[in-house]
Amino acid sequence: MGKVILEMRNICKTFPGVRANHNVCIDLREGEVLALLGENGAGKSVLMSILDGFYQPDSGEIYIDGRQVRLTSPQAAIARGIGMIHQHFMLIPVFTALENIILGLELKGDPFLRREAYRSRVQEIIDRYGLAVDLDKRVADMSVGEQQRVEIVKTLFRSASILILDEPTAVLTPGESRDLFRVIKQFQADGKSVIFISHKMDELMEFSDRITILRQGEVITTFDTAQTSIKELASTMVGGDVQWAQNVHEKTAGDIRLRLEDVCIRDQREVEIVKHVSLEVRAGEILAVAGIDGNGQNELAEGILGLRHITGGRIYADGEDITNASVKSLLERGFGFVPPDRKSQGLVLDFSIRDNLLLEEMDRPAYSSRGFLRHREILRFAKELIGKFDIRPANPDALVKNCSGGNQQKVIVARVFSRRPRVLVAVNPVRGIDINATEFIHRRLLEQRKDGACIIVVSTDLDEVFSISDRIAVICQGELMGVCDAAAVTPEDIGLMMTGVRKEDASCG
Amino acid sequence: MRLRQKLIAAAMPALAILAALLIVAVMIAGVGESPAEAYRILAQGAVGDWRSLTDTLVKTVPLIFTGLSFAFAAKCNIWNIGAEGQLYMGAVASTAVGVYCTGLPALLHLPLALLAGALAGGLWASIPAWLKVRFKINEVVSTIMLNYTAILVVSALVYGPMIEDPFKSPQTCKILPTARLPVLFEGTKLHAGILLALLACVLYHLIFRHMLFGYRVSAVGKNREAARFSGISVERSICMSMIIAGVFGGLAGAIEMLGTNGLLIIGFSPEYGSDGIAVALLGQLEAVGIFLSAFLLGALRLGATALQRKTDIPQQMITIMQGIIVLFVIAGSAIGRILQNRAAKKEVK
Repeated sequence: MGKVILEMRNICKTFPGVRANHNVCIDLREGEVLALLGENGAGKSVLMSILDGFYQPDSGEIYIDGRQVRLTSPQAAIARGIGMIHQHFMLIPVFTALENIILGLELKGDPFLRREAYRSRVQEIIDRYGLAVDLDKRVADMSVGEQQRVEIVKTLFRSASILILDEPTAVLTPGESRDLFRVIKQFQADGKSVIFISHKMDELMEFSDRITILRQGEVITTFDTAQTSIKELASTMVGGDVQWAQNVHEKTAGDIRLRLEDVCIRDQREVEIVKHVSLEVRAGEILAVAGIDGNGQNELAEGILGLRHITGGRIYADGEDITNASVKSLLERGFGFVPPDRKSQGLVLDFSIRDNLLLEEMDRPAYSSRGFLRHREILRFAKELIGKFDIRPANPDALVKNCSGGNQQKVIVARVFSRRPRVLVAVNPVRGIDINATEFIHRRLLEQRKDGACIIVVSTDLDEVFSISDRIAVICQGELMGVCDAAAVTPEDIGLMMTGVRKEDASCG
Repeated sequence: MRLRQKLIAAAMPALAILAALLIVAVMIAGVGESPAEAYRILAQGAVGDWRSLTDTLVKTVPLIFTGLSFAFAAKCNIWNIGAEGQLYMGAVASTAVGVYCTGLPALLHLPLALLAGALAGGLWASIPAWLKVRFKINEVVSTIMLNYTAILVVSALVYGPMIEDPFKSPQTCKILPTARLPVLFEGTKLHAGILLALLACVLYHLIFRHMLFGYRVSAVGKNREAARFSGISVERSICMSMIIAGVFGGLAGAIEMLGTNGLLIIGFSPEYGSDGIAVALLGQLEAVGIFLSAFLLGALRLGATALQRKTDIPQQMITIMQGIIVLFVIAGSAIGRILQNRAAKKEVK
């Protein structure tokens, strides 16, 4: 094992209301691949953004080759040899690969873009690592994999010796992932070091040297990859102390209310993101859809609500075909939706709390008649919900953009739940909000179940999944891995299924 | 505290106007005239007596309509730069009805002519609306291009089939008296168009304060995705508000023909369309604000001619002032937003 070339000591970083990193220590050795593993919100990306100079830590030190450094910007980081490949590429689509690679390297005082001066040196890197990149192709015309290779070349060209890859395989096909691993092996051979963020444990097992696990902003432990197992990783990642006490499994489930039959959804690029999903959800039941972010679960939820075109299969509600029905008709039918992104999808931030609460109710005769709004009734309705859901500030005219995240989410939940939906789909209903608001919303969800609603909770948070659901469906890369009884399965098994192991092979009940 | 935020919002346009007055005062002093005297002449010429006041109101009418046109679309977060074109289409349609539909009683002829203008404006605006919804074509570009198109189409009509006398200047026949908007006060030019403009302001206020439709349009304007997620048809809201914007634009032209001009001359509009943008922005997209700013800009226009007549200050000085006002309003709304946010944050704490 080579010498330690990078050390992060006692890194702390807090955002308003969130402790993203707390006393985090990691070290990186020459020529090794270090993997960072953790649930969403465990603090991996923040930690790497600190290393990349994008964020400044509140406290803690960074050492490179034993010397303390301050990384005040991504430029400062790359000057120290640290380069990050982000999940969302930082490329200019209308430029060619070469233009993107040399962008920002122009000589001072030279008004001309001297593409050719750099070409041979760029080509040298491409050949050395076997990165298939056509330098004269526009980035817009490239596949995602090729774009990623351009990013890598760009970073290498700035002579990075430490590469940070943030979930690089999330966007790649299996074949492209193979190629990427080959490239990473070549880095190692050249003495470069790699930090690799991923959720896919089989990948990490295959080619990382060590695995550091983060949970809730803290480093839990670091394993030598050769001496651990996927099972051990999964249980360490979710933590032994999963709290699921609150959920009393009342057997209240009634008839099948929502049925998905072989549902497929293709996105704008015609890529199938939901593949042949069949599910049944009963009245008075909470079905959790667990999965790592970006595996098609949000699209599935949007598809059920008529917000995304279903390209194959059918959806039935109470036995009636509702495939590709309009959002409006589904709302009228008693569907409710807590969307994944509250700010961009759930709320009109420049509207008051009152106007946001009205969004799905405006057509009701109680609140509008003959095209006119009934302000007095609306105000009464808003005040009632504000009280019932403990929304703060308790002022119906306060703008929602000035509310905290938890209260914003309460506005959505109040709006959706007060309609007593017959079918309720909630996507990450408690993401990014504090523990009290989380508890509050979960209690309300359980109340809705008691009232006989048919509920689907899409969640990336296993604690949440276990604390509220009756059954758990696991989705990976758009495919259903299986549906388990929440009482008869362990978080470890669910964790395994989230990474692509089918229920039959995960040996769960 | 809410009151304080509202005061900040209202103070911004006032400050913008004040700043513009100061800067132009410096410029007037720069050309060797007395700013105080110049502003006195300006005010005198704009609202100094009954006649100039009514003349200012006549100028205000089309500005109110083009202002409402821009504002209505802006509420839906669409940039209708096309009021000028909609105005020309409205003018030519209402003139055609006013000239060629003979033998109708005034009770029928006038509403018909107005309706023709409104429809023409709405139809013209439905082109960019359709292009935007169907092909995602940016409405700024399409409305600007359609302005040129409209002006040239109207020119072709006035030079061609609608010309009164091919050997005289290009203008249409006079609109029949049965289609003219009545003058309100004997001896002035002030016609019933001002009443229609007031009515339009009330309607605008009603729609956005008290009606479901306005609420939907605002929701779409402020967050398209959230509106869609709430079951509102985004495309329909965009189309409807663009078409209504066109109706207002068309009415601006129709009322100018039926009330003020009495016949259609090529190039009759002194950029009422782009002035409407200034009116709407200065008025902060509110009905009362739009009325007041239209009046201000109308007064400046009229005062400017007096200024040119009585001093050596060029009329363009007033155009500069108008430009500065708009610039400050835009900068001011950014500052106002920051101040409001701060006030709101304090409130939360």
